[in-house]
Amino acid sequence: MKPQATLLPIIALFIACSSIGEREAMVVSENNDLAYRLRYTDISASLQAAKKAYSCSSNDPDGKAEALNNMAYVAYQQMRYDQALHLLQRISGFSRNQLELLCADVLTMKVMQRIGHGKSFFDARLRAQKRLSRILSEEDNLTERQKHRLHYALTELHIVASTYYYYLGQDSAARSEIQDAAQYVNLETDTTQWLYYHYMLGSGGLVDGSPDEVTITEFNHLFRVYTLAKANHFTYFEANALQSLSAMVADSARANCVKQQRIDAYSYLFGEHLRWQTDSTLSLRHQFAAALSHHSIDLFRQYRDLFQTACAMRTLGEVYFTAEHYDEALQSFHKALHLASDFRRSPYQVTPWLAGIHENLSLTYSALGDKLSADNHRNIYLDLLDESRQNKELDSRKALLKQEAHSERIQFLLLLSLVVLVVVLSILYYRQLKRRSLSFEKQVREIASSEDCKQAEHKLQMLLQDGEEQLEERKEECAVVQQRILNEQKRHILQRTKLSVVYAIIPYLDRVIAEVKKLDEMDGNESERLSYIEELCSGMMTINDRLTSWIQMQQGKLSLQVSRFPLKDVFAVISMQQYAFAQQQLTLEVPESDLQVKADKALTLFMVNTLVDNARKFTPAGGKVTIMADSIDDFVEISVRDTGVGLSREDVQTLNDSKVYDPNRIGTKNASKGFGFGIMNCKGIINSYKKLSSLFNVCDFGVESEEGQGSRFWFRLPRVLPLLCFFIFNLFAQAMPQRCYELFDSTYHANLQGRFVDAWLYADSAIAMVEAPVDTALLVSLYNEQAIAAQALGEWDAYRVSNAECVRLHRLFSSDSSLASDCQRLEKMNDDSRVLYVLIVLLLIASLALFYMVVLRHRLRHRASLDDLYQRLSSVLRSFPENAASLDEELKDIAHTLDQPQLRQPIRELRHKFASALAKLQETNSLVECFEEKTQKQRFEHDRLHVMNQILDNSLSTIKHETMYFPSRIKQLTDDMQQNGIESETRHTLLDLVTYYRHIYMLLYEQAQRQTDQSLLRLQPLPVSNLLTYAAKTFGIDTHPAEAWVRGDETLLHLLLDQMLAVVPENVTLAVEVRDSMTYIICNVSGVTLTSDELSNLFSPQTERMEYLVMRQIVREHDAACGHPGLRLVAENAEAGYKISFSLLSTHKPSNS
Amino acid sequence: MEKFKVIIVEDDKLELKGTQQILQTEVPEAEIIGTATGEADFWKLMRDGQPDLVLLDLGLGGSTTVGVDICRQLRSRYADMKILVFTGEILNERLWVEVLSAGADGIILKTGNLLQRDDIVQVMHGRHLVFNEPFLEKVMARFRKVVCKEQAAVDACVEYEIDEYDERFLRHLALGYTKDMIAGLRQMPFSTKSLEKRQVDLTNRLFSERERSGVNAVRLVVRAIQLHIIDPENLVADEQ
Repeated sequence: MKPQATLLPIIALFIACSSIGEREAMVVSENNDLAYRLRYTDISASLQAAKKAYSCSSNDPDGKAEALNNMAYVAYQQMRYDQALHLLQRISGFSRNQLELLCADVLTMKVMQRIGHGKSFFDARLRAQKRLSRILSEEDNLTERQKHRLHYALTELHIVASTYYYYLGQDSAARSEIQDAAQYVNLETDTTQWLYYHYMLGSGGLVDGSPDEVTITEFNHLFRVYTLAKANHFTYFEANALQSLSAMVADSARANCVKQQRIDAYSYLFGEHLRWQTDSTLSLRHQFAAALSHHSIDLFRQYRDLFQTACAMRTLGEVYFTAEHYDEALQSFHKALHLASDFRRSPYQVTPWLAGIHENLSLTYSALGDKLSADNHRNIYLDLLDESRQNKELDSRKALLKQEAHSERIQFLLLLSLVVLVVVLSILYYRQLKRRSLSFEKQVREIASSEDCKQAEHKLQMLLQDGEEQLEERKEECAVVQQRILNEQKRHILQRTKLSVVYAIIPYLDRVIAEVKKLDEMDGNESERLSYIEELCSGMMTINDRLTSWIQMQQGKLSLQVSRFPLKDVFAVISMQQYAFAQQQLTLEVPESDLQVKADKALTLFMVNTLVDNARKFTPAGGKVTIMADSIDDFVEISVRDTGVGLSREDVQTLNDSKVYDPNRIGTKNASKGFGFGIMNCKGIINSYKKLSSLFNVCDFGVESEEGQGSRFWFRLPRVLPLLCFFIFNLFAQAMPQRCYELFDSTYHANLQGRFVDAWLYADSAIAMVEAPVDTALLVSLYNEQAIAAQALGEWDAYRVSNAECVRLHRLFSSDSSLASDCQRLEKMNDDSRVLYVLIVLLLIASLALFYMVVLRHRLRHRASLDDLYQRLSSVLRSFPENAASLDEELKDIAHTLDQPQLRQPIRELRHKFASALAKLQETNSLVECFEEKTQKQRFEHDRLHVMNQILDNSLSTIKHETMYFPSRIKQLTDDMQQNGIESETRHTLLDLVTYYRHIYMLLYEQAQRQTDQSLLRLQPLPVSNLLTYAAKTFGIDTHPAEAWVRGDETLLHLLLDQMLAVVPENVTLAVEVRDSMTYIICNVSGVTLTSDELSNLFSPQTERMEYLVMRQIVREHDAACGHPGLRLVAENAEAGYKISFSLLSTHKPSNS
Repeated sequence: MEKFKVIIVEDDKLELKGTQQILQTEVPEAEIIGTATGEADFWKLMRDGQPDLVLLDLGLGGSTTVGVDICRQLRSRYADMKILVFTGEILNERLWVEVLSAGADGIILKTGNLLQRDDIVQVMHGRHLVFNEPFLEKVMARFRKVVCKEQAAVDACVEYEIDEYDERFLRHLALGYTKDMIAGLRQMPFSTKSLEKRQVDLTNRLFSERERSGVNAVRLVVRAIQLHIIDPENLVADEQ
C-alpha cells in the first residue's frame, strides 16, 4: 500500500488541474499500475484496482484493455481460467493496442500452459510473436510506460514459454527461453518481474552446471526472491520461494550443499521457521522443510491462490514423502488434490499438475502398499499425461496446415473469382470496344464534318463558284473578242471589196495604155481610139468617185483601238524572237521598260515587229539589233537600232519625206525587196494616229542611217503615267491555329536567342488563342516556355504562375497509380496468407485496373488517333486550295491510318465529295483554260485582222490620195489631142502619164494586196436553214424550210444576207434551190423591176450601192476557197419583179453533227 | 484564114467595146454573131447560132469565176469549139490552171498587149495553150525559178562536194531514219560510227565555222534542203 499512498498527492494534484478526460485517463492508468503492482501481493486488492480502472476506462480503450488484462490475470491466479480467457477475448474484440493485445496473448499462453492446451498455447505464442515483431519495429515510438509494459510482456512471454518447455521436460528450450527473458528484467523498474524471473531460475531445472553449483545458484536465486518478496510483501513470490526452498531442503544432498556453502542464509531461514510446529518425528531437516512448506501454504492461503496452495501442499507431501512419512504425505497429497477439486470442476483442467499429483499419490500409495490406489492413480496419471501429449506443437502445426488448406481453398475460390472477373471484364471490354467503335465512327464522322472540313468545303464551293464565275468571265471575254473579230472581219471584207474596186481600174488602164500605143499606127481610127480612151477615163473616174465616197463614209468610224498599255508587254512578245536572231548569229537586245503609252497595242506591236524584222533582214551575222524606249517630254520614243548595211542619204530622204515610193528601189543593190512596204505601213499608222486626235500630235516616225554603219528607225507615241497600286495584305486572314504554332515557334526561338520579354509576350498571346481541350500538349509547351522566360527574367511570381500551370496540366496527362503505396503497405504486412490474399485482391484490383487501363488506353488511343486524325485532316483541309492536286491522295492516306474499314467510310465520303467537286472544278478550270486559249487565239486573230485592216485603210487612203487626179489628167490630154490633133509629144506625155499611173497604182495595189494573201474564210458545212433562220430573225423575212447543206463561212454568209437584205426593198421572200452541185439561195423581189442596164451594172464597180460589191466579194471569197467552181451571184428580172440569187457549193450533212 | 463566127462574153461594156474594136480592126475574118454580158444571155445566144470561137470573160456580174463553169459546159457540149478565155485576174495563177482544166484553148490576160491577131489566128488554127505575152512572161518567170532551183542543187553538190552517199544519208535523215537504220540500208556500206563521222563532216562542209555550234541532224537536213541538195518534194527511201 505504500506506493499507493505516495502517489495519492500526485493524483490529487493532477485531478485538480486537468480535465475530466485527462483525470479519468489518469485514474485508469493509476489503477492499472496499482492492479499490476498488487497482483503478486494482494490478489483481491489487485482485482479491485483493475475493476476500478475498467469502470473508468469507457473513453480509454487502451486503459480498458490493460484493466481487462489485469482482471484476467487475477482470474488466472484464482484458477477461473474460463473467465480469464473470456476477459482476454474481450480485449481482442475491441482493442487495437498491439501492446495490450500482446499482453493478452502472453496471458493466454500462460493460461493455456497452465491447463495444458499446447495447440492454443502455440497459437497464442505465434500471435504474440507477430505482434511483438510489429511492436518492436516501432519500439522507438513507445512511451516510457509502454516500454515498461512491453518489457513486462516480453519477460512474461519468455518465462511462460520457459515454464511450458520446462513442464514438457525440454530443458534446453526452457533454459534458452529464460535466458532470453534475462535482458528484460530490471529490479528497479519492475520488481515483480525481477522476482518472477529469479524465482523461475531458482525453482529448478533452468541453471547449467554441476549439481552443487546448480543447487547453490538456485538457492541464491530463491533466497534473494524470498528476502526481497518478504521485504516488499510480494506474498506470492515469498510463498513460491519458500515452496521451492522446501523442496530443496527436503533433498538431503542439496540441503547439505546449501548448508555448507550458504550456512548464513540457511541458518537465517532455519531460524525463521523454527517456530513452526511440525511433526517432531521428522528429522530436523525435514522438519525445516515441512516448516517452509507450511509457511508457503499459509502464505498462499493468505494470498488466496488455490492452485499454488495445492502446489505447496503437494510440496509438503513430497517433503513427507522424502521423509518417508507416507501417511502424512498421502494426507498432504489428498489435501492438495482436494484443493484442486475446486477447480477441477471448471472446464479447463490443470492437467499437467493433476498428472503430477496423481503420480505423487500413486507413488505414495505404492509406498504405503496400497497397490490398488497406487495403480488407480497411476492410470489417472497416464491418462492425464496422454491428454497433454508431448507433441502438442505438432497438433498446432496440423491445425495450421488445416488452416492453410482452408486458406488455400479460399485462395482458390478467390483465384476462381479472379478468372470469372477477368472473363466478365473481357466481355465488358469487348462490348465497350464495340460500343466505342460505334461512337468512334460517330466521332470520326464528326471530325469529317468539323469546322475545318466545312471551311474546306466552303473554300471548295468558293473555288467552284470562282471557277464558274471565271468561266463566265472567260466566256464573256471570248464572246467580246469574238464580236470584235466579227467586226474586224466585216471591216476586212469591206476593205477587200474596196480593193477589188481599186483593182477594177487596172484593166481600164491597160486598155488606155494599149490604145495610146496604137495611136502610133495611124490606122484612121484615132478619133475612135481617143473617144474610147475618154470613155475609159470616165469609167475610171466613176470608180474613183465611188471609192472616194466609200472611203470617206468609213472615215468617221474609229478604226484604231487606242488603249493605255505598258511597253514591256510588247517587248515581251518581241523578245520571243531571240532564238530566230541567235540562229542568224545576231543579238537582239530588248530593254526592261516600265513606260506606258497610249496607242493601239496591236499596231504598236506590228510596228516594232516590222522594224525589228527589217533590221534582222539587213544586218549581217554577228550584228546586233537593239530596241530602246526613251521617255522624252510627253512622249516615248521607241527605236530599233541595227548594225546593218544602212541606207544611202537618198533612201533616208525618200523614206522620211515621200508618201509614196517604190520599195524595190530602196536599199542597197543586194538587199532584197519589200524593205519599203513595212516602213510605208508604219508611216501610215503614225499618220492615222495623227488624224485621229490632237493627243497624237506628238506621234512621228523617222529614219536615221548611214551607209555601212547601220540604221535607227524610231517612232513616237504619247506617254502616260503608270497607275500606282497599293496592295494591302491582311495578316489576320490567316487561320488561327496556324498562328498559334507560329507563335510557339517564335516563343521558342526567342527563348533560344535570349529575347525573354518577347518570348513571354509571344507565349502569352499564343496561350490566349489555344483551345485547351484541343491542344493541351501545346499549352504545356507554351507554359513551359513562358516559365523558362519568366525564370530567366527573374519574375518569380510570373514564373510560379506559369510553372504551376505547366505542372498542373502535365499532371492531367500523367496518371499516377496508387499501386505503389498499396505495395508499400503490402510489404509491411508479414502475414504470408494475408499477403497472398492481398496479392489476389491486388490481382483483382490489378485486373480491374488493367481492364480500366486497357479501356482507357483504348480510349486514349482512340482519342489519340482521333486527335491525330483531326490534326491530319485539319492540316490537309486547312491547306486545301494549295494541295488540291494531292488532296485525294492525302485523304486516302489518312483513311488508311484508320484500322477499321467502317471508320474509313466518313473519310471516304469526304474524299468522294471532294473528288467529285474537284473533278468538276478541274473540268471548269480546263474549260476556263480552253476559253482562255481560245480567247488568246482569237485575240491573235483579231490583232492580225486589225493590223491588216489598218494597213489596208492606210493603203486605200494613199491610193485615193495619190491617184485621184490621174484620170482627169488623162482625160485632159485626150481632150487636147482630140481638139489639137495627135502630136507625138502629147502622145508620149500621155503614154508616160498612163504608164506611171499604172505603175504607182499597181505598186499601191500590191502593197495592199499583200494583206489579203491569207484567206479570210473558215469554211464549214452549214445548213441552209441556218441562213434562212438568220434572215427570218434579223429581217423578219418569210422563209421556207430547207434541208440542204452548203459549204460556207457562217459569219460572212450572214454578212452577205445583211448586205443583200439591206439593199432590196421590203416584202421579199427567200427561196432555196438545189441544182447540179450548187445550192441557190434566191431572194425574190416582187413589184419592182430593173432595167437591163441596171441589172448588168448591179455588181460592177460603177454600181451605186457598195452592198452589191460586198456581196460579190463574199461570193468571190467562197469561190476561191472552194477551188473556183464558178459560184454565181446573179440579179435578173423575174415574173413580177426581179430576183437576186447566189449559189454555194452543196455538201452533205456531216455525220457527227 | 477563113471567116469564122465569134461570140464575145464580157460584162463590162467599155471593155466589150475595146475587144470589139480589136477584132474589127485586126481580125477582119471574125464575124461577131453576138455579145453577152451575162450567163443567161450567152446561153440564149448559143441557142440561136453556134460560133466557131467564144471569147469568154471569166467574171460576169457578181459571179466572178462563172467563166470557168461556162467553159467546162461548153467544152463538154462542143468538143471542137474554140474557147479563148479573157481574164483580168492577172495575179490569180490558180484560176488559170482551173480554166485550162475546164478545157479552154488559151488564156489572154487583160494587161499589156491584150488581144493580138496572132492569138486569134493560132487558136483558129487549132493550137492549144495559146497565151498572150504577159501570160507567157509570168509562166517563164515560174519556169526560170524551177530551173534555177535544179541548177542550184547541182551547184551545191559541186560546191559542197556532196557524193551519192551524202545525198542518201541526208535524204534518209530527212525521212526520219536513225543512223542505225541508215547503216542497215543495202546501198549504204557504212557502220553507224562512220555515219556519225560523216554527219560531223557534212556539218563542217555545209556550215561556216561560226554557224556550226549546236547544229543537229534536223538543222543539217534543213540546210541541205535550203541548199537544194535534197529535194523535199522527192523524198523517197531506198530499198532496204
